[in-house]
Amino acid sequence: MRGGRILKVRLGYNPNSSAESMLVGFALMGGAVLIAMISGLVNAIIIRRRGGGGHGPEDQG
Amino acid sequence: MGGTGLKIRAETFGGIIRLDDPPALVYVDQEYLRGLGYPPSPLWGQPEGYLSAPTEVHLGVTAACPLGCRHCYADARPGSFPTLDTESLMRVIDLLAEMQVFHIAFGGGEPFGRPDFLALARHARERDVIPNATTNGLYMTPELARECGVFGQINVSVDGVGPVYEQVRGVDGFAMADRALGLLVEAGCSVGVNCVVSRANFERLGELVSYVASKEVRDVLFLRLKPSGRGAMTYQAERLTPRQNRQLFPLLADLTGRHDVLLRMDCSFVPMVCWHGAEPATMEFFDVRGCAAGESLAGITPEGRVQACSFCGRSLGEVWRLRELWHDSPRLRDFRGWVGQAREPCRSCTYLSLCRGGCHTVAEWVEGDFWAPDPECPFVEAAGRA
Repeated sequence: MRGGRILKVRLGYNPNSSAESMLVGFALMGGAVLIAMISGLVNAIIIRRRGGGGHGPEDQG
Repeated sequence: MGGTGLKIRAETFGGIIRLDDPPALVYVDQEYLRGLGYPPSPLWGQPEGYLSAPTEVHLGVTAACPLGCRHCYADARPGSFPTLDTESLMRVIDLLAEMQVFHIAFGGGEPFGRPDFLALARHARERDVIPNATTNGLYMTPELARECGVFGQINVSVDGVGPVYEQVRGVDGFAMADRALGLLVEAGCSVGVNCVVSRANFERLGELVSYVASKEVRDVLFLRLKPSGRGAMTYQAERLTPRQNRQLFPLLADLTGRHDVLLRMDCSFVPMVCWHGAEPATMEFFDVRGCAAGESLAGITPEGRVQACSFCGRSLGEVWRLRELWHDSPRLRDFRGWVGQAREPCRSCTYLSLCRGGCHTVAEWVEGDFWAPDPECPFVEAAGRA
């Protein structure tokens, strides 16, 4: 069983060159359920990519 | 590009993972990274503090812009100005790559006015830093749009539809921006829209969101007018009224929800979001927070000077010292220390650690005091009336 926690997720790119920006509407749609859903989704993406790629040195430490 | 689509940077708490599809920065703890087979980092034994480097850098590549809009934060205008040359900008990008910065937001001025702009973006890609950009669209052609797949996302500035654009910017540029949006969408680029919100367009934002929804753009980013560059000259007359500041978030949430468009707001609007009782845990998880200067963000001017953010005119030093400035600049320490020094009503506010006091550039300009609470925050405004 893999441990550890996803602490937070910043979605999307910020192309704006003057201020930091964030996806506000989406972030405020729900609460714990939305967080759990996104967390699970991101978890699955990361593990699939990492497991499928196997190029450790590409990740910078 | 390619590979596993993951880039990982260690931090004291664990690390940050960059996903490219879907685009996201994911903050995870040490145990999570160990589970992915990531080797322990020397940072993991250190006390938690600020990030080891910015996650994002705003890189101005020119101060020139043929439009000369009324509220330009950078005071950009037609002409020729001192700017880092191609080789120097390539070296800046190399430095950002070495610092493991994840994203660059290119801007100016109008960045596509530089003949080497695509080469700079490609160089960033080659160094595994995602290039993003803001443009007014003036120079966009079908050929150029086809080359813009190199960018993670390009946003076109559109402050209003039709004549509203000119009412806000003082320049008749809507047709130009509309054409650029169309070309970029047609070329398959990831495209968004930037809109500076002011009294001149507040009542017409519905038209803009409806227009954006018809264009297959990824999201629309609403920016607060700042007293920076020429924006300082129009600020008092054009900034939102207290009532508009309260109305803004529900208005935009309703509009983007009805039109199925993703809503983005800039960091300075976070007090206006908090006012409506946003759940702190949800904000924290989705990294919806105020002033990012010195936390996750740094700005670099076309002349190669480092700034806390693009609106803070004060230079912290030369870009070649960015790595040491990130850790040692007294100005960045002020930004990071603002929450600990917060005055009332911020000090007692539930959202202090998330909101971080709103926009310090606005406070410094309006109140003459960097340490003052953002005077346009609805909570601060209400406290002042009490």
